Amino acid sequence: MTDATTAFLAFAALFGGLAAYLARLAVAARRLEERLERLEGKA
Amino acid sequence: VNWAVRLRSVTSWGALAALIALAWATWLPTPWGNAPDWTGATDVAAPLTRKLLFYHPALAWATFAAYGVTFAYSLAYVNERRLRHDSAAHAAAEVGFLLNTLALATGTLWGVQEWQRAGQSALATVYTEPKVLVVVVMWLTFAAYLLLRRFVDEPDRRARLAASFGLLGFLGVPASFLTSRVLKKSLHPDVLGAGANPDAALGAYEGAILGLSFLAFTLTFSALFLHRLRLARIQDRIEQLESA
Repeated sequence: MTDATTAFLAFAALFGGLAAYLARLAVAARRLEERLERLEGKA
Repeated sequence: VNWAVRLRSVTSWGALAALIALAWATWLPTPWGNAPDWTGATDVAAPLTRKLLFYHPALAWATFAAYGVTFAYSLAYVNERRLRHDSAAHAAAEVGFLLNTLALATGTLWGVQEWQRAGQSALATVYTEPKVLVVVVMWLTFAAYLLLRRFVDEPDRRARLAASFGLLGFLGVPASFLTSRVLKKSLHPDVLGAGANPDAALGAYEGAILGLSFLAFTLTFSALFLHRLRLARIQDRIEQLESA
């Protein structure tokens, strides 16, 4: 693997990994907030 | 709870600004200096990959900080048996595992380019390095920590088991610090201390970028942890309401 390919893969993995985790947190937050609202509405 | 919202917001925007500034300074000129460039340096095998110097050590530091938080909350759970501490330990472990994975991925790619041992493939050289092996064992311990939480339903038993993995896994942090200092044939350079440290040869501007990288990833860990902790608290509240 060339130097340029390795550097590209490393930076893509780094920022891609952070972005994917942030997206996952956002989806989980929306789901949990909706569930909590429903439960608090019932209570 | 206003202060928690404010803290989360400040760390999130701070992390974003610091990461953008770091990426900028790594690759482009700024008013304070040109991007570090090792092209043409005879002792640097991969000048572009070498720019991971401004990411990989800071990622490793953020991993250690995250596992330190898991350790502290696991200890608090063992002492007080409050599930609130367990969910905070879980939040830090999850973020730590992500940072650990990224540190391993960037370190592997960097090592494959820059490390050589006679008669060994590049990947074998990286994965027979003592510090890397210690970090892989730590990574596996926290993978087990996160997996076991999915398979144990009873909250107290799950918290007890997780706390023991959290405490045990953290031992990898001092162990990884020690390996390259005790084993003198280690290829992995030390970030702190005088031992074979390539950072010592950095100029003031490169040193400032390195400092910025530690700030950026400390803020990134803090922001991710605070967001994940908020989810843990919502989950705790849901479980409270459902059991009432």
